[in-house]
Order: sequence, then structure tokens, then C-alpha cells
Amino acid sequence: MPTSELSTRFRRPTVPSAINRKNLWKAVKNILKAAAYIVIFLLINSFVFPQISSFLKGQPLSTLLTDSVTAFFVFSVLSALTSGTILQLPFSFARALVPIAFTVLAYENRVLTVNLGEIASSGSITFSIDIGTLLIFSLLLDLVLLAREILQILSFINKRVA
Amino acid sequence: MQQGNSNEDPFKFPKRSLSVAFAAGSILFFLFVASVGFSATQLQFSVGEAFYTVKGENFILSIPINVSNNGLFDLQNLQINTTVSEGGIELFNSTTIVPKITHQSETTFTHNLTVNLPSFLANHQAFLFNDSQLQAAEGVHLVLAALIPVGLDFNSTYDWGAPLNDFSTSNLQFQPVNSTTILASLDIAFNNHANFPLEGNLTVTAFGGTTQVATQSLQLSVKSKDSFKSTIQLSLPTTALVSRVALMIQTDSFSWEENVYAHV
Repeated sequence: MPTSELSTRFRRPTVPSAINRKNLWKAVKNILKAAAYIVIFLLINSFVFPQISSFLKGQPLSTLLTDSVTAFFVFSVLSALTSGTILQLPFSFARALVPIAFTVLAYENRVLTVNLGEIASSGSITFSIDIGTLLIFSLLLDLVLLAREILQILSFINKRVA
Repeated sequence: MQQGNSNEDPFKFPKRSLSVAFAAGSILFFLFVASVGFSATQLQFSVGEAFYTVKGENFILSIPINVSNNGLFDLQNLQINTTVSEGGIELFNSTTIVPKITHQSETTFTHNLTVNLPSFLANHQAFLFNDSQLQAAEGVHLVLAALIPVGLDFNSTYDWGAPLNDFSTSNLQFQPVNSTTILASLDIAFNNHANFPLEGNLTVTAFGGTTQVATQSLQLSVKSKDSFKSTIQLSLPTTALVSRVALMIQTDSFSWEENVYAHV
């Protein structure tokens, strides 16, 4: 039997199975990634959100923060599940926009006021903090993340065109 | 070779650079937030016992405050503001500013609330006679790490003790002494509920029209939380036509005058 015939015989079935295995592993990895996001979100929802709600006591920032975190994780899960496909791009982009939207909206309510309770001489004590500067710092980081997401999209388009 | 180059992602380096920048920025951001949080926990405020002094016409309430900054950052623009009001109407306010407290240092200062009593009591005469509850809104505001303004506001109530609480005078009693003199007697009583003593004069003056007919003064020295009860007597000539009798209290803190008799 010529060598070329032998190699053809043995190679043919191995190539598709390797691709399938690779794809399967990719799919499993994406599902695991999405599951990890869900687990992290559930933990935050159970332990962090109640703390934020009780600390900020119904202030606009409390709702904004919980909504933003929820939206961030929803897009993260969708992005993980569609990883490697063109669908991933809008989800990743939306995920990068969430912190920017949060920062911009939170800037209007940047003064957090927390009622620390009653004091002895029949009065109340309130703590306030202006997080405006922290929000500006965080906006810079969010913009870096957005720029990276834009490059990711350009890179994806570039690969498809190539 | 050419094939390999065309497969290379031209965005790989910028993407990696942005990832590194984001990671480094995030680490710095969280380190900053954590160190500010840590510094805030290392701040210690202690408020000493408030004391008052009377300097001339001014009543000064002094609150000694000690700030111990054991954190990593300086404190800037520490402002302590007190506003005292009664029934929603602002009576007086005071602000103390400490420009800077460096880290790992301790500062003690006094927050003074100065009230010019003559001016205050002239504008708010009800406080002379009625005890009251004053609402004090106090605020401590400072800038942490030169970037983050934080504040602590608290409300409390203080009792105001009226210096002439339960002030009462009897009807002016006229009693003839002889053919030329009539003795006019007036009983005066009050409780000094104020935190300061009353030192001054109590004067009763009889007028005939605009002319002063007779006057009598007595020294007033009533300690804080003490009562005063006395009778003041005025010798009037029988020929005099008394149109009104005025009672005047003059102390370091205030002056007050009222007609106790008026002939209609």
C-alpha cells in the first residue's frame, strides 16, 4: 500500500473529530463561563444587594446600582454563551456601555446620604459622601473598557474580511 | 511567510495595551478607595464638655474638639457649622474652619458659638420670659484625601432658660406717708433660668408727662437658676401728677423697660 493512500485513510476521519472536540470544548467552556457569571450574580443578589439597599435606604443610587449590576451580568451571560460568534459583539458592546451609563446617571445623585440613627439628645445623625471624583475615575476606566470592546469588534470584522 | 503575516491580528497589541491599562487602572482605583476607606476608619473625633463664658455683652458657648488623623491622607477644609433655630426661625449660627490636618497628627481646637445678648434679646424678647427648646443643627464637613468631600450632620435640642422666667409685678400700691409724700410700692419677682448670672440695676421711675418726678434703683445680682423677689419703694411728692411709672432692668446682657402704671 502506498504511503499517500495510508495517510489519507487514517487522516480523513481524525480531522473532523478534532474540530468537533475543539468546538465541543469551546461550547462547554462558554457554558461554564455563563454558569460562573450566573453564580456570581446570584451571590451578589443574595449578599451584596440587601446590604446596599439597607445602607442606601431607597436612594436613587441604590436602584441604579442594582439595575446596572443586573444588566451587566445579563449581558455577560449572553456574551459568554455567544462567544466566538457575531452575536457576541453587540452583547459585549452593551456590557461595556452599562458601567458608562451607570456612571453618567449616578453623577446626578453623587451625594450619598446615610442616616446613622438617633443620638441621645433627641436628634438624628446623618453621614454624607460626595462620590463625584470616584465616578469620574471610574468613567475613565469604563471608557478604556469600551475602547477595548470597539477594538474587539474591529478585530472580528477584520478576521471575517480576511 | 506572507500568509502568516496576513493572519496576524493588527488589533492584538492595542487590545492587550488597553487590557493592561484597564487592569492597572482598576487596581489603582480599588487601592485608592480601600486606602481612603481605611483612612476614614482611622479618624477619631472627640468632643469635650461644652462650657460658656460671658465676655461683655457676648455669651460664648465653647465646644472643645479633638481630631486625631491616624489615616494615610491629610484632611482638608474641616468645617464645623452650628445653626440654632427655634420653631424653624434661625436665631444664630457659627462656623469654625480648620484648613488642614496632616496625616498622623492630632489637633485640638474650640468651636465657639457667640451670641450678642443685647442684640439677640432685643430682637427676640420672648426669650427673656419664656423657657424654650432650641434646635441646633450641627455639621462637620471635610475633604478626605483632597478629593472626597464627606460630612456628618446631626440635629439636637437644647433647653433655653429665660433670665426673667415667671416675671411678675404687683399693682402699684400708693400709701400716704405724710402731707407732702406718698410712698409707691411695687413687688417684683422672677426666676433666672438662664445659664448666666444677672448683674445690673433695677430702676423704677415715675414720670409726670415727660418730666421725671422720682426714681429709685436697686442693685440686681441674681445667680444662674436663682429666684428674685423684692419690693421697690418710690417717694412721690403729693403735688406731683404722675402720668406713668416705668420699670427698667439693665444688665450686662440686656436692657428691658415696661410701664407698670399709666394714668388714663
